[in-house]
Amino acid sequence: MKRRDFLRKHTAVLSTPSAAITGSLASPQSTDDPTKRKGKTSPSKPTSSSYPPTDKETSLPSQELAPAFANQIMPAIARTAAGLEPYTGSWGYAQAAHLLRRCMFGPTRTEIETAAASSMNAVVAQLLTPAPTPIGPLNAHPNSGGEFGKPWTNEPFNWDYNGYRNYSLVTWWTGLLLNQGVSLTEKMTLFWHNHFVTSTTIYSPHMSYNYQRKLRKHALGNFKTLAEVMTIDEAMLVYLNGFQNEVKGPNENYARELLELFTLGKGPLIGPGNYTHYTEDDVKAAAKVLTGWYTWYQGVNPDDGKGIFHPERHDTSTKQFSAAFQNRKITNTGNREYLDLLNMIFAQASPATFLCRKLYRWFVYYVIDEAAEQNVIQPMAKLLRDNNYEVAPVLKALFSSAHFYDIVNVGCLIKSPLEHNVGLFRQLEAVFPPASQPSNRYWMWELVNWHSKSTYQEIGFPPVVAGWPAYYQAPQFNELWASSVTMPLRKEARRSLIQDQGYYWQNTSVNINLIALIQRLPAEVARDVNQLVTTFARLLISDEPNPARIPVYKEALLGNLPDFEWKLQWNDFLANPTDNNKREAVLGKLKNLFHTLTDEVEFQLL
Amino acid sequence: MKRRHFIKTATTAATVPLVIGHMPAHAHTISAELAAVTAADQPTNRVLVLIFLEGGNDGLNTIIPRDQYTGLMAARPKVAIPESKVLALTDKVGVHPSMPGLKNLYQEGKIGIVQGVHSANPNGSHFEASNVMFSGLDSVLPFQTGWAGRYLDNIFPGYPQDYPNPQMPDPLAITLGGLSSGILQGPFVNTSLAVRDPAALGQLVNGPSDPVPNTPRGHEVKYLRQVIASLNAYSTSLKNATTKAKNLSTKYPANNYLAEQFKIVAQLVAGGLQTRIYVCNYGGFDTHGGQVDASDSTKGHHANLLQGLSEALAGFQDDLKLLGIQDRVVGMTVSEFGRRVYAGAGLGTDHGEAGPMILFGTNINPTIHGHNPDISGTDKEYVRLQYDFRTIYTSILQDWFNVAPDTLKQLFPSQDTPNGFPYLPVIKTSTPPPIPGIGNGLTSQYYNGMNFDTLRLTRIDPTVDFNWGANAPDASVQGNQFSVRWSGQVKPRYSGEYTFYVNSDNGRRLWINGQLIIDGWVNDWNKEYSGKSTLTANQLIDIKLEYFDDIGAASVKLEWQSASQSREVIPKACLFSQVSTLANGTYRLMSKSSRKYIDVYGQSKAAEAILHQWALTGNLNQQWQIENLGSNYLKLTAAHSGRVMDVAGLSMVEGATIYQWDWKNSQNQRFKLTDVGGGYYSLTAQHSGKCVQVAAKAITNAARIVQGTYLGEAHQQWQFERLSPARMDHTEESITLGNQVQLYPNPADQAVTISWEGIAQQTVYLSVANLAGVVVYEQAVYGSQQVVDTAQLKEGIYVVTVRNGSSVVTKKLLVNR
Repeated sequence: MKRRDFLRKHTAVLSTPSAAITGSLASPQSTDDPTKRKGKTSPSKPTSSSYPPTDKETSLPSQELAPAFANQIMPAIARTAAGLEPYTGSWGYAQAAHLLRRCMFGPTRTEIETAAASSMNAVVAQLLTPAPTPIGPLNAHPNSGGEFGKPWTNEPFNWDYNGYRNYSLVTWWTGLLLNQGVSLTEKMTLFWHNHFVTSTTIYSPHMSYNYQRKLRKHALGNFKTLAEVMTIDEAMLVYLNGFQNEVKGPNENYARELLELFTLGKGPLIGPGNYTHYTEDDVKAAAKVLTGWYTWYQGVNPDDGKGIFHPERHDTSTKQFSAAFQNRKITNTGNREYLDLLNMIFAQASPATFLCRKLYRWFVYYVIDEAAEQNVIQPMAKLLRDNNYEVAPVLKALFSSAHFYDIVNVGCLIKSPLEHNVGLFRQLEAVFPPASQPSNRYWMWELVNWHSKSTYQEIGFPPVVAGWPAYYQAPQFNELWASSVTMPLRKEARRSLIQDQGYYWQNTSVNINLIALIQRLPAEVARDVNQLVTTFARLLISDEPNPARIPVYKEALLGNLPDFEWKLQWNDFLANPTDNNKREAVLGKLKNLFHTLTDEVEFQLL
Repeated sequence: MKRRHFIKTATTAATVPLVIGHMPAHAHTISAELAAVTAADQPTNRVLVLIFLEGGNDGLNTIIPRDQYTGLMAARPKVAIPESKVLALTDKVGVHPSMPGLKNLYQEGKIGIVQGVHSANPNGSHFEASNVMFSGLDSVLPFQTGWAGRYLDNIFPGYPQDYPNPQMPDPLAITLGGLSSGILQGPFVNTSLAVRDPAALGQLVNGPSDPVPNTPRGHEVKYLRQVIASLNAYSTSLKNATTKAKNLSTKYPANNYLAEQFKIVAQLVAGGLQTRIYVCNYGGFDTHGGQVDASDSTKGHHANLLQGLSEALAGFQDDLKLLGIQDRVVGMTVSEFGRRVYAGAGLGTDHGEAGPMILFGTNINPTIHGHNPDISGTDKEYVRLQYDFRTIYTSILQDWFNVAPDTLKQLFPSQDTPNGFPYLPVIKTSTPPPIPGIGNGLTSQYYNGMNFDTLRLTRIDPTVDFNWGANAPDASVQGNQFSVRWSGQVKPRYSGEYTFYVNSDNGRRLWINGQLIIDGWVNDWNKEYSGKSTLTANQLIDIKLEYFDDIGAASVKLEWQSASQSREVIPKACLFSQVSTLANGTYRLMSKSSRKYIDVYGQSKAAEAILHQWALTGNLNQQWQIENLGSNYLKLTAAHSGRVMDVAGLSMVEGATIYQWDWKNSQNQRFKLTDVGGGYYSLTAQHSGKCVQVAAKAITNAARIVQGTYLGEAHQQWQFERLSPARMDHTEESITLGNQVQLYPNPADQAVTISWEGIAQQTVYLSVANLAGVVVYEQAVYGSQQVVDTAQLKEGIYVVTVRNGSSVVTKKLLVNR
């Protein structure tokens, strides 16, 4: 787009996606005027698509594609035409690092090197293996009721303990991220948390725990099943007022978000109250379908935390849906009726494409251009539908695809706070208090959570029902994470961790040990300044560090001393491991190196 | 889009330390031009505060229609506020009982209400509705720009490249909190700085500025560098602002998230930031359930939110008043939608459509616009729209920020409403006009010694508001026992008696219009001095302030106040340095007596071609490129010939011919500019001390231009008509020519085509000037377009001026390769 021309563009152009405006990927849609649709006509003919041909929803309006970058001053960037076809290129450190960075929170050096020595198929299979189900959050605080050090999840509900139990829950959850293995379970659990949002603000830790447990259980499972589970999940019934939805006074909150945010997604406003995929009247009809569900009063329903159906609160009338649902009617089937609704929704095409775009933004990049839509999103969506909404085949295809490993998709996602903070602790191989000290352990996990919270991502506490804005708010998306407020706070989290070799609180601490980190390297790498610096630059910054920056990293380590000086000092320290002066000399240099490496803006990217 | 040298912001910040209250020495060489181009001089002291009530505020329980109780109780029996509990504003309109603070403000004339505000295309999604509200556009899938972001981008083009700069040393806008608001998303970047604790903004290491790859990774690397550069560039100015002003009100509520944001806004505005727009966020309004307590509908979640809003607003207004900035700040609430008329069983309300907007500030029109919803009739289910969001946005921009209607149409393109949105007087009609003119501050002379002993430094200070502590004002001046004289003129906005205040450590005396009104030439401190003077609006009056510091702390502040305006530091826009001057650029020189122009005879390009006066032709031989050589000595170069104005033969004689000659930098080619008042100047040849005048006081064409002894007569006085960049008030384009002038491509690389279809068949005068006002291209063209070679131009922003008779259009051109 010409830089100063925008004021002369009318609205249609202002709201046309970047792919169309920037031209190189221009499609027939680029001349389409979305405003002409308003009110009367149906969406314009879509870009010709070979795939999948059966589906009216291939006519996804261009508006749902990627918007332009927020920052138009940046150069126009190359994108790729590579699609979901299998990746056949080489497999090594770079590919393994890319895959694990996207699928985990801060893969360690060893994890990356192990994956690099394996094969793509083997690593993807490992990632798709669900992690074991953990024991629940513990009574890690004297005031959380029940036996100290044991889970509170089977203890009775008690208002007095809610605060500590909520704290225990989110801290425990943070601990799961810190202690993850090579599996997609945690990243996908968080994905679903950001999708089927509830918040610990419902102030029922048992419900929130059950909600989390279900997300985790279905993390690599079935989208439709999870939607069914969530629709009558007690935490969800509270969070989106489903328990207040009754025949004598419907509450539309859950119905609206089910359609808009959880399944069908927003389409353009093509008529009064008509959002293409559903209408305002559909929201009202869906709300009626969902009347009658209530929660187990305090505590949770022992039957998997499901809501309780009260027939007398249910609207038994026949619910009429719009043309978006082929004018379907849903008749009264009581406590099975929500399944009829979900069957009707999932018979549509848009839930699959909607979810696949979200997965794409979560794992690949936030800009979805025409090529990505055609070559990646649509094939993913077809896979999802063909597999009856099982997500594992889709993830497997994505993480084995030429598109995923294309160079343009590497190292371009700005880390979320959790990726930044959990990743920092994991990649620096921080040592937390042992499981035998639950209170201390939870306190230190809480520190990690606290850093994330202060930079606007608190696990268990998404700000709004749409999740964290970085995953939905055009045009900035991930760039929202990095601001003049958060960047100094991220810096501070790193600074104190590295400078003090950990955090200390009263009688406990989480520790990092940079010297031990180096000692775990092969000896010939540890003593060679070039290899040492490159190894950690590859871990923390990029698979191929900018050669111009290597001297900067070396200078951080050594000042202006010649290369061999590191070998001398390191060997000197190894020969005198108890000499504190020699230890401090080496440690001071390593701190400088890690400050410098993690202060690179590229450290913010994965 | 081509690569931009974007990271320049960072290097600028690194090499030019930003000192609030001072201008870097080179600053004013570009400031006037930049001001003219960007209209950045327009009321820089005005501030707009937006409060996003996130979630969709229930308007019917906020601004309550007292005449709709039958319908209200039927639709929401358990949620409606009992009629007897409503706090009445008028016989028809009341407010929620938890908002006595709001009622008080209304009674003080500081609250305006607009009923039934929404988008013409209601959307039940929080996120789409928010985007519509943020964008001020018809259709926003996907969301791309916010309305305030577009406005700021229009005023400050090219941001963030070359920002901060002396003209705009502060963030264009600030979002309170960690994530920049969509309202401030400009077409190219988000125009706001996210601020949570301005006093604690850190500095981060600027990384390398090497080129990045043309990939998404490169894009994000650049973005992250920009975040750091902005932070580094602005952290000092924000910190300084927090040290200059403290919150004064004790009425802020405790533990109130909105109040905490207001405190920061008040402090930053009072601390002197020129930031125009602040966005605050106040969430929790999505009251599907539990909106009210079951036992008492005046209590509960929504009541708490409204109480918080009301108390925060009361504290904020009180603070603004105590800080003396209440007349400079207006604000308004926005929410993505109102809520449904009927309530659900869960004591809450679902998503609705229109809702009320609350405006606040002393300059808000303190009235209720629009009518109550008709709950038994048209508004049975949804409160319907009376005013599009954009009516309020555009009216505020027009009245508060002086944006012209044509520009508003460009900022708010709409298929539905192509001719602009209806105007609504939400700002007081008696609101004073923006500060006239472009003040630049006062001339300051800094001396060592307490009695003006040794002159060490002369400069222009934008305001007199210094706290040097134990430091020296400048490296060239000693830290103790120094003295300063500020002089120049002051131009008040209102007629009436003004009180001037000087707070200083130590001695001070102040003259207004030659009268000594403050005489405190004594070594004291912590004592306020004041004096009064009656001034006339928009008339320049001499002002002189003298000050000395003995030892220890040093500070001085000059403020004024009148019945028409609250107390403030006399702003830069009202201060004019001692010697008024002309910016470099191209001008025509018109005689005060004949109204004719200095013209080179016969359009001759030859040396020795004489000057005479002639009626306006528009030709280049009436245009003079003026370069100020220092001390207001001008070199005047004829635009058509490149030769300069010259007194023939270095003559000292009365009546000696003036002609054009090659530039030799001799004294008979250097003319001293003197402001003789009323917009006229005299020009005095340096060698002879005689002035440029029309021979024999003639008023006819072809009368010669000669030198003569200056007697203060009209034929010796000249008006300088600025041609490039064209003098602009607040419009980018004149109404006459409208959009007929086009530049393409823009950004340009090797060449740009300038076309003016519709006004063809006339001669048009084109000029291209850079932001320093230097004309790089000038041509009279007959036709409808002209291709201008830009290959030799440096990258940057240029101003293209197309003049046709009295119509002038200016366009910004970006050269970018």
